Amino acid sequence: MKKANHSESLTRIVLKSGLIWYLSAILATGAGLLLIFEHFIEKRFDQSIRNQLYDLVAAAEITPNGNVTLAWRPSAPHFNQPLSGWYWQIISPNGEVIEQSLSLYSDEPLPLLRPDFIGQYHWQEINGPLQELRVGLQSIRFAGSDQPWQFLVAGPSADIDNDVAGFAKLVAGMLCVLGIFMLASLWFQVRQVLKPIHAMGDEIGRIRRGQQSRFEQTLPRELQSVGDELNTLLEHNSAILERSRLQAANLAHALKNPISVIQNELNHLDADSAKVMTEQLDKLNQNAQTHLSRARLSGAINQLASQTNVSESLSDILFSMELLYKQRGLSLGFRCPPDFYFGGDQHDLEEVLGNLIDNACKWADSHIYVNVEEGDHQVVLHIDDDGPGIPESARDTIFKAGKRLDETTEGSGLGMAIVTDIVTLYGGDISIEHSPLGGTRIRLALPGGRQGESSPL
Amino acid sequence: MRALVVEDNIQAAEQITQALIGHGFAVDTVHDGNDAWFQGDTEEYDIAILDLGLPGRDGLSVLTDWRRGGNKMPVIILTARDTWREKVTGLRAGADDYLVKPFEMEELLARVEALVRRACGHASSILRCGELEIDTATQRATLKGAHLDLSSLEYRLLAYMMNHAGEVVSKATLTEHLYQMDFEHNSNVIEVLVNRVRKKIGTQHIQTRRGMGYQLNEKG
Repeated sequence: MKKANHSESLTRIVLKSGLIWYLSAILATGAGLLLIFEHFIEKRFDQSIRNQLYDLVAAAEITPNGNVTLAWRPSAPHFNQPLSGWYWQIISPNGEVIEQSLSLYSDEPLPLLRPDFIGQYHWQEINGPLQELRVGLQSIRFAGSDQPWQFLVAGPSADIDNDVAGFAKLVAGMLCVLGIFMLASLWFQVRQVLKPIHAMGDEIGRIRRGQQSRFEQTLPRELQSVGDELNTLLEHNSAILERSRLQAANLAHALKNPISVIQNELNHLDADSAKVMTEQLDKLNQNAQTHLSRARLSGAINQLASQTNVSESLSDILFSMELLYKQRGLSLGFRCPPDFYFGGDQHDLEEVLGNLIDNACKWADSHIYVNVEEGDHQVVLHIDDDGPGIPESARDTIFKAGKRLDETTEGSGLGMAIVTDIVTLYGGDISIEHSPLGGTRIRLALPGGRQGESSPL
Repeated sequence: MRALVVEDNIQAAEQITQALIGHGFAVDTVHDGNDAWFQGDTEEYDIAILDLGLPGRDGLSVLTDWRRGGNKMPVIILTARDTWREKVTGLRAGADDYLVKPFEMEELLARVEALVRRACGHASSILRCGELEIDTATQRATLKGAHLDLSSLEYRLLAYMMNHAGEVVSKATLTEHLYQMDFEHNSNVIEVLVNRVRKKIGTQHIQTRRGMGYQLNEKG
């Protein structure tokens, strides 16, 4: 349940609730408008029937013999069109139709409805010859006659329905446009509101890639506190890392200086007593070094995953090698696209590269070459030398996880142990192959890729 | 040859100093960053051995300031800081070599030797000038293949002259490169020393250029 909530997008939530509210509002408005319009149209229709009825009454006059005749006949054309739905009739007190509109079109005039002779104007709906009719009725007593004559005018009630339906269509169309416009504006607003959140995501990505160290954008007031908190966290994080590295460095200093002094002083002792002490001192030194480099590593894990430019680190390391091995006159070269990055800490990458290339320099005859390629979400480095190479039987043992080459061979085993630690930590891969240069090729695969390729969120 | 040792650990400094003196160097030793900068900036050294974690100011900033001031003396960093980032930083700041503690004294001496030689433009530890030959690694001097018995000061003079064979070297320069800083400058001492060496290798080798200094020549 909770997971589903998390994965639902804010845009969808807002649009969904917006849709419900807007739809209800639009439907209510539409219904209200229709009611008002229908009432208005009915009133107009009734008014028109009533006017025509009064017209008819005005045209009627009573003859001396007590009959009613029309001085003129209503002239509106729809009263002449057969079965148009617009009719009029005059009914005598005894219920006979004495006059009616041409539109009724019948040989034997029949009352449209049973006369009721109610004196007041009123109306009712009936089924006419062709369609439903709305009929306005009034009975009149003429002067000199005490009998009521019923006057009647009818119009098709479909006229009202047609008008209302037409209006409803129009209103529905307009409300649809309004609804679409409202939803569009809602969507646009949500996007505007979410923009700083996306920008924040982008910034976190840049921080992750090591392109910046803190939030720099001015965020909206509602998000500012989040940005501030994250900045504090980042600062706290790098402060802890800095402190642990500083402590490791201080400890290294504190341990190594005395070890160094004792070691050199041992040279003045006679060989037998110096031997045991030298062995113990070497052990102490190696242990100290291993744990100190581990301490630096575990510091690095705490950091937000960062990115390190591979070619910059490579050129730094090779520059150092050139100086450190100047005596040997080695030729060092590398090829690496400038936008390749390693998905981790600079210190860690440089420890791996430094130890591996240092080893290559120790064994190489004259040439060391480093080639960097792109792998599947990885950077793949080939470190080649033209030295004697490592026999196939010995290759496996060197990098086997947990295999420590502690059997003191010039301390080089320690470097390899650190390399293995770091490569394992980052889920990388390292192997030994035969180099086209004639010596050893170390194949090193580490997480990474091209800069700007991976999207931050 | 004259060396500057910058090392705040007194015992370590003493060990290095003794080893260098035993290797034919005149050695000045300082234990603090500010002294180091001043000493390197005002005196002529053929090599400096520089620790990084120093009281006063950090070795790196000392090195950076030396290089900024145009000081080209070979510098070897000798420190407990052993990460590659620290090595890169030190070498980028202008160090010529980098050695991590704990270290073998032999290793340090070999590297010092190599750096000094390189600075003078020599590829091998054996220097020849006519029939004269010295091996800077073993500090043995021979004339026509016969061993020369030299005091350490005499060796120092000969080694410096051999490293700068053919050049005219002033008395002041010799004083600077042969003696440590507590030495009282007196040109007579140099004259006496040069004459002592001449007696052992034959007077023709070292010629006096009046008012300028001495010159070591092949023909003898």
